[in-house]
Amino acid sequence: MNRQQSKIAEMQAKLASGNQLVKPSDDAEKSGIIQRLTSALSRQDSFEAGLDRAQSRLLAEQSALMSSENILQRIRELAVRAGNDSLSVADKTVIAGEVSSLRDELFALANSQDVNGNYVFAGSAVQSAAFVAAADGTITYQGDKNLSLVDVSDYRTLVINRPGDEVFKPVARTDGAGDTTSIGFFAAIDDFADALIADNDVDISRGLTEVSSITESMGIAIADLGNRMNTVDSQRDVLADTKLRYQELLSNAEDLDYATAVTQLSAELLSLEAAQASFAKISQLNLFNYLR
Amino acid sequence: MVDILNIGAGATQLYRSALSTVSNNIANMNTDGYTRQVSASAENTPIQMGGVFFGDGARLASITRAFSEFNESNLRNSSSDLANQDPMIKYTDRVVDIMGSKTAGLNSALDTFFNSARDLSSDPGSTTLRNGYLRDADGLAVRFRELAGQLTSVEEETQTSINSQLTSLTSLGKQLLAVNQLLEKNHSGNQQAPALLDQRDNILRDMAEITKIHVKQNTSGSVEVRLDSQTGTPVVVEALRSTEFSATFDATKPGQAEILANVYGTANPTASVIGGSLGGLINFRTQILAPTLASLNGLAEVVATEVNALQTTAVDAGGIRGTNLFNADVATTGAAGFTLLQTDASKVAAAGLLKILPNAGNTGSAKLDYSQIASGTATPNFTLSFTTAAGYSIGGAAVAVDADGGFIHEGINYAVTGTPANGDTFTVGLNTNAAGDNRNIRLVAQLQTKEVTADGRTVSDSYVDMVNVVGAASTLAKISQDALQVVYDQAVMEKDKISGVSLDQEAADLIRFQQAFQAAAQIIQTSNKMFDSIIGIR
Repeated sequence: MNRQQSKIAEMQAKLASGNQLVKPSDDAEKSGIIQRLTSALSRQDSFEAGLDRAQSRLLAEQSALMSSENILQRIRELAVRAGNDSLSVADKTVIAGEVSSLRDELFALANSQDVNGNYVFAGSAVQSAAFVAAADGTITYQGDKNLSLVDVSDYRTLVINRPGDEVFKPVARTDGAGDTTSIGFFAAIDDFADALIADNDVDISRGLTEVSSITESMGIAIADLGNRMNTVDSQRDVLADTKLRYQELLSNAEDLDYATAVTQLSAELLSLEAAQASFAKISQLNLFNYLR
Repeated sequence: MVDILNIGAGATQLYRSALSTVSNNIANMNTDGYTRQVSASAENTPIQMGGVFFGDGARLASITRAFSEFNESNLRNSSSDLANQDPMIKYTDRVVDIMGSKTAGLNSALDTFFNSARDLSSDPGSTTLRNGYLRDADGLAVRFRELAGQLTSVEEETQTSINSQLTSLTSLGKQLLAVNQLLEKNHSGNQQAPALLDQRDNILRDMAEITKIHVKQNTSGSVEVRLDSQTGTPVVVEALRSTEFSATFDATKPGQAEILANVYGTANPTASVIGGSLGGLINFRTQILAPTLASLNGLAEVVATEVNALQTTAVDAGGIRGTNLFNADVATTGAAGFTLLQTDASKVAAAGLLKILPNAGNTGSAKLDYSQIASGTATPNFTLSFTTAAGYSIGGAAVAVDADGGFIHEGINYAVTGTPANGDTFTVGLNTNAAGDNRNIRLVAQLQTKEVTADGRTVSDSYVDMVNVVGAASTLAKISQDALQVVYDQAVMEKDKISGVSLDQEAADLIRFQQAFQAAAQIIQTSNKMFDSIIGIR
């Protein structure tokens, strides 16, 4: 009867908690499985949190890149227009002014920060500006070339940044002697503006080529970003699926099947009552009852 | 002539005694350890008159216990076996409940810690996340200490329990010695007071619950008790001597216990304590507690070593090479000494150790990279240059680059790939100003699924397995207990069949003896009448 009673108490605790296991010692193996699943599930949650942060970083990169591309398109338009011989020197000076101010905008965009204050294009040196202008106006890249990899699942990693000098990429310039040198992104635009002011047709046309080249680099950067944004989206779906699967497994391992549990409880109750009734009957069977 | 009056008087006396034995049985029906007593009558010596023998009535021969030595020893053994499982189940369940808890176990703390590392890896510049990482590292350290503390308190509890069991074993021995001395005063076991023998058996049964005993009964009914059937093993009680039991515990070897038996004035260690609740406690400590504690300490050591190895081969937010995150002495102190050393969030070394910059003017295709940090706490700061004439050199000293393009400098492995051009240089220094570098913290996060334990498993798998092993032991003990309970119940039933008081039996005896008593009284009456008839002859 004691054993029956403790079984019933156990069933009752299970029904009250809705769990198959009230304490781990009820079934250590099962509680091990539950621990594993819980841990896997929490890992997926953390991948998801990482994905959120990666996305906010990528969105910051995206908005900077989109604006930069628009500006570069505008500079390209101006460069094409400036190539037209019919423009006067004054017109070209006006264009040069616009190019310079567009360059300043690009400079600002190159030093974009994400919501957490990280400089998006500085490689891993996220706490200082990616590009710095010296007193003479030359702009140099201060960041490094590190790519930050973030794990977004047990098997997949995502690159969350692109070093600034690959986005605002220097161009190769070949001089008259045939030597090739690397000219900074901003220097190339500056040179173009200078050429406009100097009305140097050769340099203006070189400017057009270079602006086209940096626009192209920007296009590549945007395409690369698009790929990474896609990865974020598809990974989000994968994570949601994975989480659902783990939750299902966890629920199987952890949650109580009420139908079975209630049936079992009434079976236990019945056998307890039977034991009690038989005890009462048997204890009455005594010869003394018949002796008068 | 046979005295009918005497026969009648003797018979009434006999049946009065028989009735009192029955009454005593009924009165003691619920007395623990009471053995049913049976009165036996014997015929008096007949009187010979001529060639005829006249019976001379009956007398009370003995009042003995309905007792079977075999059943009694069977009961003792099965109660030893049953009691053996109890501490095993009680304490293994405690350990499983402590370690296997979803919230209070190690796993949840490990998960939180690694998740924080992963969070930090997605934005290593964030001070909030760095603080979160330190907080959860402390949480992990606290959890390790808590678990160690819980196991230690189980250790201490079982020590107390062993001590108190030994104290009761010793005092039972003394009680039994007293009973033995009383029994020795009478040479025949049959003539001993039943109550004294009951007391002896009760003491033996209590002893058997503590540990398995081997009992040898002397003719007088006194007993000799040993821990083992072989002679030469410690005597618990002899006719004239009882043993003092005690235990010593070695603080450096948790789970270990040495039982000392002081038989002849010196306390000698004995390994003969098996079975019973005492044996169960010792089993639990050696088979469950000690290995579990060792595994937990092993895990603590692995976690501390692995995390420290990463932390010290990386640079913190200030661009300084990191120092240990966790107490490096965990190998000696165990999980109980698992402490967090860092409190400053900027000291979390999240970034890779080195920054290697090729000179802007390099024209070759060579790339320099570093792989693993073999040893040391060096903070490299040098320039690697290449000339066609002299090959690679650092500060003028030639560097021997092996066939695979690798070399070791200041304990760090470097690898050169590609072809350098004359005059190319690389500057190598600590990875300063790299708050956004997550290379190292990512490795910390990846420890979660990395097989780092000695047997090639992840920390959390190893932990779950450890809990499973304990759980399996508890399941096994529960199954054994169920089986042994049946054996024990059987033994109790067998004993009760012979020694137990059955009311039906006593009721029948009561009537039988009452009728016999009445008949005997009638004999006296008849004899009286016979006498009267003789006297009344006129």
